Amino acid sequence: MELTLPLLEPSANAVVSICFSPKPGVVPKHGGTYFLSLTSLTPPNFNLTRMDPDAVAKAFVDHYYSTFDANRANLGNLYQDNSMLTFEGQKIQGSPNIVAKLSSLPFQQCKHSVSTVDCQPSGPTGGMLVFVSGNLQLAGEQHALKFSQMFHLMPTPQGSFFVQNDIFRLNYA
Amino acid sequence: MEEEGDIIGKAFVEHYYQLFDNERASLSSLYQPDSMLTFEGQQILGVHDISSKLQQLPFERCRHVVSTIDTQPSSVHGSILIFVSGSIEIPEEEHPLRFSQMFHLVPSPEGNLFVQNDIFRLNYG
Repeated sequence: MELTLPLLEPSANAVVSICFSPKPGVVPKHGGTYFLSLTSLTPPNFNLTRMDPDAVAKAFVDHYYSTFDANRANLGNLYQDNSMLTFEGQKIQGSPNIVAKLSSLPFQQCKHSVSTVDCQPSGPTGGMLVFVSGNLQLAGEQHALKFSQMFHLMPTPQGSFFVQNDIFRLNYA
Repeated sequence: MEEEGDIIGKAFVEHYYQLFDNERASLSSLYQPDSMLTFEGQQILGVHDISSKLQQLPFERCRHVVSTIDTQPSSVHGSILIFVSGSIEIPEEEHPLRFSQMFHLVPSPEGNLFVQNDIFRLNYG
């Protein structure tokens, strides 16, 4: 289904954040729909637009990795205090600790290239499971690293999503 | 709670692949009518269709070798997320195939854990 983006005011230097909201009261079923809410960080809010779960998952993944690749410190608002990251077997809890871990990874620049994105609704709480595989190119490295990553996105009371569970693994040959 | 999850996750993974490799038809005991499997991008819903799909995979015998298991508690009380990487040895294939798989185990009304969500992907070199 096509997504029509509302035009931004030319004078608004607003950073648009993408929030993913299940329709209130609706239990997403396999193949059901999610609503994508485009919200500027300065008012007003834009209208809800209907997207299918695969499109929502892909939009989240694009947003996550573009944020990661541009400035890892900006990932903080995608996690909450009860979020959990397992990064190459190391367990980290809570947004500040997760951002600290990701910011301290031993490379300055990187680029994620996504190969596959699979998603499924995770149950009556409105969550979404997203399973990604792709390549991670580090600046200065000759070969890209292969990785798999799993996100469990949960709706917030405000109507957006956050990453409640995040598991990352490199795929060695 | 997390350590308990690790123990449960490891035990489940061993049980799952032992069934898969030795009596694939019995995997149906681990799924329910609202279970979901995404297998190499194909979406399958419900224990009956999932069981059929797994039994119809184009190899008689296989052996899963697990490299890594990561677990985390999920949102619903008692539910667990498991992330596995490993390889599958198939007699028809010269080299083992590498894979990643994710399970979301949820308590059934009877109180045992079943696979509500299952996503499988081969990792190509």
